[in-house]
Amino acid sequence: MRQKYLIFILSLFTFHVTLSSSKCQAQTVTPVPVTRILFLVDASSSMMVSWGNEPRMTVAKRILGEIIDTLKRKPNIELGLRVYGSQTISSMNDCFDTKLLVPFGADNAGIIKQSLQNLDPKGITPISMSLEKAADDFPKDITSRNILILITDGEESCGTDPCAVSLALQKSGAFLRPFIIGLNVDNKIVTDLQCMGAFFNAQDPVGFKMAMQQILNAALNPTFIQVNLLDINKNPSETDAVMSFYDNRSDVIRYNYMHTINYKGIADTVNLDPVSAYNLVVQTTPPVTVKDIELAPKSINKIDVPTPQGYLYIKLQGTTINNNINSKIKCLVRENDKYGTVTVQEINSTQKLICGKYDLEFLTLPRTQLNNIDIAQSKTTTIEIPTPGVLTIQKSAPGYGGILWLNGTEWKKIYTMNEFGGMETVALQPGTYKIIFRSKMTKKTTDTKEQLINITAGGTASAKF
Amino acid sequence: MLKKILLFVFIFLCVEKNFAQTSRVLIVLDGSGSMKQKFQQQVKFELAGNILVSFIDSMERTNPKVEFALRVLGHQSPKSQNNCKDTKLEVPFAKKNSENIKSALKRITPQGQTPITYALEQSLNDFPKDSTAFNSIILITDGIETCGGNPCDLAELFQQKRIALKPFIVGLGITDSLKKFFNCLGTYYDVADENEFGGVLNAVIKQALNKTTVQVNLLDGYGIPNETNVEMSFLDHYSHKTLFNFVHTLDANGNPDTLRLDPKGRYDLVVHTFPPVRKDNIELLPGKHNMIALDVPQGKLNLVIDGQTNNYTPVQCVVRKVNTQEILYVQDFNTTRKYLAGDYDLEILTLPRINKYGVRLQQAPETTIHIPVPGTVTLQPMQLVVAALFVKENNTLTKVYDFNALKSNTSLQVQPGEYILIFRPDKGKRANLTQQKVFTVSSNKTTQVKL
Repeated sequence: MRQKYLIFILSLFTFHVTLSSSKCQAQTVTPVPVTRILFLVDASSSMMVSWGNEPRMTVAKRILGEIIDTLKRKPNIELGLRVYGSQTISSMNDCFDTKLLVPFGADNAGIIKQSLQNLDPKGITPISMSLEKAADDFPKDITSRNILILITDGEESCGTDPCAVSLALQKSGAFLRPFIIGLNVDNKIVTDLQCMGAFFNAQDPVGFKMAMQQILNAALNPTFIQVNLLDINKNPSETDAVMSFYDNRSDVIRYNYMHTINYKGIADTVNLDPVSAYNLVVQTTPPVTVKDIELAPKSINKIDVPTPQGYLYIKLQGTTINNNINSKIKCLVRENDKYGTVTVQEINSTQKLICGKYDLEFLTLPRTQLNNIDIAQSKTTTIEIPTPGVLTIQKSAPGYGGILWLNGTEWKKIYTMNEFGGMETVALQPGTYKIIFRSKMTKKTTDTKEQLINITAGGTASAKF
Repeated sequence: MLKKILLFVFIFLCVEKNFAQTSRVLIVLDGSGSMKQKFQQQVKFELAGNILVSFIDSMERTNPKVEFALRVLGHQSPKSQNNCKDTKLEVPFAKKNSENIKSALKRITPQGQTPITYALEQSLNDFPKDSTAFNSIILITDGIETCGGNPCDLAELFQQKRIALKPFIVGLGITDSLKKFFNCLGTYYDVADENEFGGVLNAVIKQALNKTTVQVNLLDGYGIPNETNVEMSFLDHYSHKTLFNFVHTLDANGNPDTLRLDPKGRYDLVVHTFPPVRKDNIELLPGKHNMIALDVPQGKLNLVIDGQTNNYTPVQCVVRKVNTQEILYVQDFNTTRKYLAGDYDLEILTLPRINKYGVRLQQAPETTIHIPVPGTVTLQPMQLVVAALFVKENNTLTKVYDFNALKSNTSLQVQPGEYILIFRPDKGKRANLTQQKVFTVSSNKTTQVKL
């Protein structure tokens, strides 16, 4: 199931988000969250180098200013600004030179623009330290979408791995997958930085502005996905399975949707946050996973997931005289020749399973193994096993003993009796058994007694000691 | 008190029935022409016959558990007829047979061929089918097979049937070819004079009647024979048939109890621990106390549900050796069972299943696995919904139960924990109508979830 899935971008025009209807809002999985965007801006000495016909810092100030102007009137958005390399000259190698210039708050666009204007680049590039500090800049609010946009022209100066720090912070839930814009950085720096998150290398100021717009496009608009659960004939007819979308960086569950085929007879689309990439787990039995799904913003992304399914029905050939016996005969279902239980099924139940070969092990005594059971598309495979008989062991005294089962020509122990006197009831599959018993009171081996017992399907037998 | 006495009487009878074995000795006597020759003034056949009769007579008087029978070979047809199937069971097994054997010997005149191998083959059917008896054959011959048979071919068969074969060769110095002929049957006796014959015969039969005892030492992790109370089976090494099943026992002194076993043949011993331990091809020294030691260090696995449960089906725990697929045992909770010391994987069939990997069982102390009492989830759907229940652990959802279409109140017993019910009304057919209810389940508590 580790195939790569192509994602088709159907269109780029804006869809009406169903969230806007108040009636539906109450029923949706995620209410509209606050989006908090923290700009983390490089103010190291290299920002004074020219880019086109002005210093990089000047370009950054101008374009960021324009972007902030477009954001300031949007609802449910808060902004913040952190910089690094702005306080200490580079020769001092100050690895703690990072500062929250403008914390999150309402109506702070003007202050952010002013603070940007006042920046005077001079220091080094402590990216990791800045990320760690930035994590605390976001208010403690588990419902908000925390987005970090890093603008840098250089690599980490302080010897730490910003990718590892970024991943750790994503896992801790500090922020979603961050965006990184490199200001025309060289290939080595690209390699060093792109593992931090979604990376853009702006070749020139125009490229920088385009990258910024792309980022905001993703940050501010939901996108859609249509998951087609394919049957064995590659038709999208499978449905009614929970789809869990995990953030592929943080492994946090972002969405659970019950897959639906709508009244048009097609897989209903669901909306997702395009800031993250996802691992999708379709909660079939066993589950089917598709990793690293990247989404195009403001689009209907399509993905095909083969989940052909059929049914397994297990039952006894006859009825038992003891209802308790039914509930003890559980069936362990494994994928053929694979390690690990897929599911445990009760007698007289039906389980939906991904098509394929399964090995079944019923917890009868002795256990009943049936291998290579085929589950085919939309079909019900019925498995019947012989009804056990019931053996009643009557012990006149406490003692030790067990049940040996004749397996071909070999006697194999299958059951240890309890050490108490009195009655013990055991359900046994049809076959030949020896019940071995010795009283606790005796000190002689030869006081061992045994009884040969034949068990028939649904029958009863007794052994007295 | 009366009960106790009755029990002991019963046990005593059992022992009598099973373990005071009969010894059966078949005399296969050479009645061929060569036995007419004299050896130290007496015809060999008569010499052998006389010694036998007096020996059997005294043996029967002192030991009621011994039975004799007589088969003769080469006595019915003259040598010239070349009858290589000339052998007959003259006196079958019975108690107090010495008179019958005496009169049979009187009737017989040695005359014919010497089909030793054929006669031995026939003699296998002379023993009653009684697996507990100790069976021996004493072959008395002057040693020359005249029918081309090779008794070596029979050696294994005799082993398998647990029949001891003791050849006596009367009145000849042993030639190399004879040595070869009898070597494969084990020890043979070359009878040089009358006295010696009687003495050796005596010794051989005594050996057959001697007690061979066995003590099975089940060694714990410290090499001390403290393990006990486990079933064990003695199998015939050749036929793989089970001869005896016992529950291993320590005697009044705390030592492994002593058993009397037939020293002939080979045994396999299976100790029915989980997994079983076996020792194959065990040979016993006749007339000796044999120690059979097996390493079966066991650890106890105690499975406990913490608290009171209502009396529903016991929770089952699937026990496997670590990293294997094969199920060793399915143990119910609130019981204790023993397994060989080692590492095991446990799969507890609660909802959700609990896996415990690499659980170590050792000689002491016992290993206890606790699980909490389940709680109850009651789902109360207001309309037809499509639903599935998940448990949330470390940010991962694992499906616990598929409800498919759910329309009436449904209860489920699950382990305490954080759960998410994900559902969607069937009506509407929109994925965005998906809802999830996050709730906690506690032991013995009912959590109601309205859908």
